Amino acid sequence: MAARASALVRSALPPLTLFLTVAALWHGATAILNIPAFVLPGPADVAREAFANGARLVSATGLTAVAALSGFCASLVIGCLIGFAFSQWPLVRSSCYPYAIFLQTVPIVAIAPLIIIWFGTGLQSVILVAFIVSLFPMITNATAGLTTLDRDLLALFRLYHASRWQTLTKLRLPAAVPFVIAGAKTSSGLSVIGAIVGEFFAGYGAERYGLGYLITLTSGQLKTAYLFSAVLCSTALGLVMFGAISAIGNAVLNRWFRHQTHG
Amino acid sequence: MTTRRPAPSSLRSLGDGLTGSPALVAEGVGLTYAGGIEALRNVDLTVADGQFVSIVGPSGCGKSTFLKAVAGLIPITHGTLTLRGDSDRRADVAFVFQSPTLLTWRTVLGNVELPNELRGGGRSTARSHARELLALVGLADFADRFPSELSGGMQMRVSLARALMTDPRIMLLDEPFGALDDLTRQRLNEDLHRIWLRDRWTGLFVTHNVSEAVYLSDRVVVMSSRPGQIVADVPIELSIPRTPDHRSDPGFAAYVREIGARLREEV
Ligand SMILES: Nc1ncnc2c1ncn2[C@@H]1O[C@H](COP(=O)(O)OP(=O)(O)OP(=O)(O)O)[C@@H](O)[C@H]1O
Ligand SMILES: [Mg+2]
Repeated sequence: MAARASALVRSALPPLTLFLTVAALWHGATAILNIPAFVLPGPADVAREAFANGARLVSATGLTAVAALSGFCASLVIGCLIGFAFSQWPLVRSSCYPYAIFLQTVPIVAIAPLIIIWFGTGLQSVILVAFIVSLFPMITNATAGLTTLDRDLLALFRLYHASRWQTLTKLRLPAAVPFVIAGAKTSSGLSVIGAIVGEFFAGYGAERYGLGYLITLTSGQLKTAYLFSAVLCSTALGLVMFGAISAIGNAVLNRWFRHQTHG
Repeated sequence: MTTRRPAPSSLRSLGDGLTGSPALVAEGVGLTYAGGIEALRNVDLTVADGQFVSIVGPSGCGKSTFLKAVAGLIPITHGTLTLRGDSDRRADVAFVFQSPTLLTWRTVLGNVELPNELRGGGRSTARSHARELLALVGLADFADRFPSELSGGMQMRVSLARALMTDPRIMLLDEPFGALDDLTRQRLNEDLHRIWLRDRWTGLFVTHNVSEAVYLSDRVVVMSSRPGQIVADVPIELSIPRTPDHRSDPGFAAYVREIGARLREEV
């Protein structure tokens, strides 16, 4: 336990030191160069604004988190289903894969307004944007997991006349789990980005809004220090999402897949 | 399918002096992969029931291909392969691969039970059988561990126990101990020999280690470089059961030298 705690301190110390150094330099630069606060607020300005608008920031972060998490869960489920279809029916894969790549290459900022037009402003549209952004890594990883298999293990299953169903449930699906976890780690961060982009275009109505809306609002009003605090909240949310999904994933990997190392 | 009991060791046939129906007959077996690589050409091999035969040969000569063909995992393109007079080649056959090929998400016991599950056998008898087999390979206390908690040698033992799960009459072993250190390999050789003496299945054992081949076998066959053909067939006339003392026996060393020399001609 003590060893784990000291390991935690050791891994947290370098980034923390870097953070404090950068904050100090930042503070020094804004003070010495006399940069106006609406261009580059100093860390103290940001902290002040963050405390002043604490309640709003917390509720915005919470709403964005709900949208990101919903989009992520949807991409996890749908991505696995699509990956499954791709792995089982090569024709489905060859005909649909080019369109799956579309998910990866389409500029989401360009289609987000369309989504708002079709599905209205509100949570459902934001979730949809988060879902679209985080779907592709899930599809590719699930497909890879279900199709990449140890030859000898497959031979073993054939030797014992395993049915297609047995090979699927006892070999392919469990063997795909580490790949799905790797995909989920990537998607978790993307879902936060997707939710924020979605919120640029869609609010939740009635004074309830997420971080994305807060960012557009404050930048329009040149409340730069407030904007900074919203950006910091977005970053923190992304880190927490990624950290939580990684922790769950690593726990699963440690228990059942220890000798394999994926991400 | 006959379930003939193995003959007592004094009557066991060696080499060509076969008695009863052989476990394996390969006649003019050739195998060319779809890509055009000719892996085997004109392989003739007859193995008596209960015999333990090792196959040595240069890397890439087709040894694994031959075992997979015997298991029915790859179709042969020439000749005939008959197992125990049975046309369904996968019946009664077990395979041990070079790597342990365990399912990491299953416990050791779950891995050993797998063949029975795939064949739809009864659960309760399978469990006690699996436990017996784990005791046989010296892992009685590790039934509920996961493979990642075991050393390479122990994982290979699990793999052996799994292969024994269906009471095979033919065991195909493809360099099962190739990745282990010498001492572990020798221990596993001794245990494998003990299990073979107990069950007297027919063994086909691929290895690069000549001394391991001599230790375990009734016969050692040497394959030529690709396309593989059998170029030497050496009966090992050392007393059975083999003991660690055999390794320092002059006769043993002579066999190792002879087969080693024959093998070097092929490389
Ligand atoms: N699935 C395959 N498709 C095409 N060619 C193959 C395939 N598997 C093996 N070969 C080729 O067949 C030849 C024999 O391979 P095989 O694995 O049987 O050799 P081996 O004697 O077992 O070698 P090693 O001692 O290195 O294990 C090699 O040239 C190999 O490249
Ligand atoms: Mg091989």
